[in-house]
Amino acid sequence: MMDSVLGVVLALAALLCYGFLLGSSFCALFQKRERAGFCLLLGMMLFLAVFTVTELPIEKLGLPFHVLVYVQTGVLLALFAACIVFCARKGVFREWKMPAASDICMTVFLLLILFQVIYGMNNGGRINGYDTSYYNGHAMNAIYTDTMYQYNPRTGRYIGLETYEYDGYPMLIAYLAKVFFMHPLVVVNRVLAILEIILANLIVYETAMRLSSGKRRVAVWTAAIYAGMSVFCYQFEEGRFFYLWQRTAESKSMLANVYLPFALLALLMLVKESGALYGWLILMLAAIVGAGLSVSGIFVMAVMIGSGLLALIVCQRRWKYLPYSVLCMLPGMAIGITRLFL
Amino acid sequence: MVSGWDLEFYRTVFTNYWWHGLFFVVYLGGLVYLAAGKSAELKQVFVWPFVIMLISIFNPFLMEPILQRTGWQNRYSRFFWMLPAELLCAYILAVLIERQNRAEWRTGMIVMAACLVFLCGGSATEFALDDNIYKIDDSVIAVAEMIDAASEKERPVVLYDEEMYYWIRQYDASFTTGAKKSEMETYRWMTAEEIDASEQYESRGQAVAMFVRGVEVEPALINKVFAGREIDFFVRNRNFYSEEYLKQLNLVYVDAVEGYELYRCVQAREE
Repeated sequence: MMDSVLGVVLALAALLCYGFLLGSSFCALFQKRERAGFCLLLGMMLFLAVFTVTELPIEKLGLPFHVLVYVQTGVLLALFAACIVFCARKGVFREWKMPAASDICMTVFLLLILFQVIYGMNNGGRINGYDTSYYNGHAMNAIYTDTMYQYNPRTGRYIGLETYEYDGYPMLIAYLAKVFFMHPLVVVNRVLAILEIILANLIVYETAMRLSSGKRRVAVWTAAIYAGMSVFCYQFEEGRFFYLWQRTAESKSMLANVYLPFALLALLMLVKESGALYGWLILMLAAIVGAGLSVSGIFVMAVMIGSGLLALIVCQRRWKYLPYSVLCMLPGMAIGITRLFL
Repeated sequence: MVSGWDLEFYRTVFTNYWWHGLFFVVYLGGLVYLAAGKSAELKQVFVWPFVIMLISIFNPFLMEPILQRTGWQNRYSRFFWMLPAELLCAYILAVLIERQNRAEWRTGMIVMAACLVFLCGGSATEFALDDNIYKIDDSVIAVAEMIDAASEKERPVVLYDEEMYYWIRQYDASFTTGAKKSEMETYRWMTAEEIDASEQYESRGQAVAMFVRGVEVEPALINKVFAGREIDFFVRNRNFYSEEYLKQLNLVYVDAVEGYELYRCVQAREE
């Protein structure tokens, strides 16, 4: 029943609602008034970060897959309950309001996302070859054998422990498939693919909003031109747009189109927030998710955030940012080192 | 020790990523525009990180020894994802459009943005509805269901061609592939016609590697593989193997779907 359009819509609605609640709570915790789109974006990154941090020790201890499902679900439910209580006490729910139907900018932006989702789901993109057989194979094995990375993803033979570098992304696919009663291919090719398209657009919109000091028309134009570029420049095989439309929701695609642009947005916020804890934590989230859910992200994310922070420290001559920078990068680097060497 | 400098590699990576380079030129133009501007924030977020990356990660003289030691040449192009080129281009164009007060100038800017998108890129992919909710070929699902229907085992051992190999376990993890990973990938980039048939006698693994690419390996050799590896089913890609050849293998026809036929391996069952 869940392997259907209705199932995809339900799973997406559940994830987006969860993300929105998580993001709203985070913003309320720091007494920040943010747009709904940003709360959603932040909440989804929080969700991914929580997943990464919970998944890694279970995986490294060689525990069965069902332990991950139980622990992860427990943690996420506890977080959900905490957010509900917190939001109720702080009166966050009263601040939520539906966007007005006459809001042209919002309508255009939502239509833009809708068109891209429809395009992404029907563009004939199907390069499910060598790489995807690895990720999806591990996700399938986890569900079928109740183990994590102990069977060869392509042949199904027992290997003990995977020796090739791998990230936590296949387990995210497997986990979502388990909790939503879906086939992993539906999770990755539909649910996560649509999520990637939505998040990629939200990041562009939010970055443009902050760059233009809140000019919504500039943000919508930026999102529209960016969308045009992505659709018409998809064929550059190494580029981020190729991954967005032809290899949607692979871990590399998420790195190129979600994690790294989110890191840029976090850096921009850090500059705008003049080094407030809120900004540092969001940057730390980007580092954790990038390193935990993409092997390439361990290096690429470190270089990107490192370069951004170095530029910030030197330009603003705020040497006191150095220890904050180290602390901000530490969890991501620890996850990366654990993934590569332990 | 670093064994020589391969600067051509960096040129190839750069051109492969940026193609004709128009986007990169616009991006550089945007950076120069920001560098000349008054906004310190924009410089801190876009210009200075780019300069730092230019003298570090995009510096071939620094990266060559690192890449040679780590062997990450095939992943080097991913560092270009750090550059927010497309975002900056889109933002600058959006600002230029919004700055125009007169309708004709604004229309002109929109046309210019559209031209840039088409000049930098080209065409979108086709708009085609997918076969199914899984976003995989219908034939993969059909083959998997065909094996499930025919098998009495929970985890049947199945041998299929290299193309099906990458797909089928993404849909159904209950199968175990009757060939090793290395065998499936030996002739990955070659067609049956390009493979030297005499190599089949080098080892049994070599014979399997050739067989899964469609080479008509000596039947006795493949029959030994079917028996030795206790292969339950063989999925024949209809583009491969003649009918005469199949008759020499210890197989019994089970069923067929478009493009594929399913055979049960007789000897494996007898042993």
